[in-house]
Amino acid sequence: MAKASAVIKQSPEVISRAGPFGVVILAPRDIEPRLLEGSARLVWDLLSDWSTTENIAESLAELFGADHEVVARDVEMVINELIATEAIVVS
Amino acid sequence: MTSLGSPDQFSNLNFVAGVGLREISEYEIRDLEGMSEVEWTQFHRELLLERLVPLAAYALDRGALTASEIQRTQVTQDHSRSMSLALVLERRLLEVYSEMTFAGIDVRVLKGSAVARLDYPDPSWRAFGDVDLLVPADSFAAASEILTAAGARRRFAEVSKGFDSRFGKGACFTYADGLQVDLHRSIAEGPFGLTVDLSSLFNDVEEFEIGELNLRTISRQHRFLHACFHAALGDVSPRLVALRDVAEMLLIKKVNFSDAVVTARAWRAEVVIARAIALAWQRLDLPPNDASAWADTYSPSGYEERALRAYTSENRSYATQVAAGVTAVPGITGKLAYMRALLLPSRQHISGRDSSYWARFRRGAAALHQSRSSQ
Repeated sequence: MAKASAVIKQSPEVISRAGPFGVVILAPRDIEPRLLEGSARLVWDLLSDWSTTENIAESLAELFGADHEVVARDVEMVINELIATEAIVVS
Repeated sequence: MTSLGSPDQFSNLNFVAGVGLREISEYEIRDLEGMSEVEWTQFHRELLLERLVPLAAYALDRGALTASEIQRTQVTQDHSRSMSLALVLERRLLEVYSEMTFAGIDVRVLKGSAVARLDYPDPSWRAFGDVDLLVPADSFAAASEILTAAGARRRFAEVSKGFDSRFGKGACFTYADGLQVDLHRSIAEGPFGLTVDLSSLFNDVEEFEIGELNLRTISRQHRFLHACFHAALGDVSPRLVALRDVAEMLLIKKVNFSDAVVTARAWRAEVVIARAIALAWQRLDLPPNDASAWADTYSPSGYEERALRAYTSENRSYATQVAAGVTAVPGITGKLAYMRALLLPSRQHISGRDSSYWARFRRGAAALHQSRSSQ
């Protein structure tokens, strides 16, 4: 599990396709492609540049006017899953 | 707005295949919602077969098509699935490409991934169903061994020993997981495949990236010519996605048409380019331009007419195309070797295609007779 302040980014090894459906990614440790929709896609898009879980949660909470803690929990869950499959790298 | 509930499903598919190539007025917007369930089912199946789902998704996204929520959901899910398949194929491509490169084989990626990534506005516009690789003739056997060692199985055995590396278009390999790799020596079967300057395909290189790996493909002009070969010769009724590739490269990617024609002339294949462009403009209902005017008025040579017949006649077959290739093989010795390979194929090859040597001989002989009588 990465710290909320850890600097993270999409792994350059991930191959992906984006479209009206969302984005499908295939990370090094993925057996099958993974579909990211809705807020998971937003998290993924924000990770095209170096960022932190904290910053991403803050951005999304502000964007949706949602409770920061709730958003932070969701974002952390998505990010931990992406780290587990090496879809994102930690600086 | 035109309802797709009309019986003309053919025209509706053509419309989807042409989306994004020209401006569409509000009167041309098509409505899928007006279709009956049967019509929708049929149309949906054709979208999948013709690999047009991504274009349908973008047509819906841009408002060129309107649809019910259920129809929209189906197309969106299909698009996601087709892109997932593209990723799985690209992962296999990376594995095979790396292995071949490591073994010293000068491999080039053809069609699918290369065209999707280099010739479309976004790779998600182009679906594909297999991996296509071009290798030098003298590396064909080594490349085949790499695929076999990785668990792929060749679908049809070599016609006869040495045929692949000297005359063949290539071979198809399938894995236990269902993925397919087409290994090419040339870009077409039969006469037009035999007059392609294969060395030029390796000399003019373009690169593209998947993940962190740079892969080599053929030049833009060669990709256009290959797209034309595939569209004009690949199937009796050309796949719409193949025609779309031709139009996309000409209209959007602005391939140098004059240079392409010069190369096609050197390959004795101008008629192939003319046929592909004429079919694309007709089926996709594109406004005339210089390329389509040239294609519509192109007058093929006697050789081109005869060669084209092997691909477009009603009794088109593998044997007919291969037999028609005799005239394209240079030199008497080469022609004899080609005919010997054609008439005396290996037992493994026959067991995959024909029931017996005799059946093979009869098909080959009949094809040769037909090819000669039409000269």
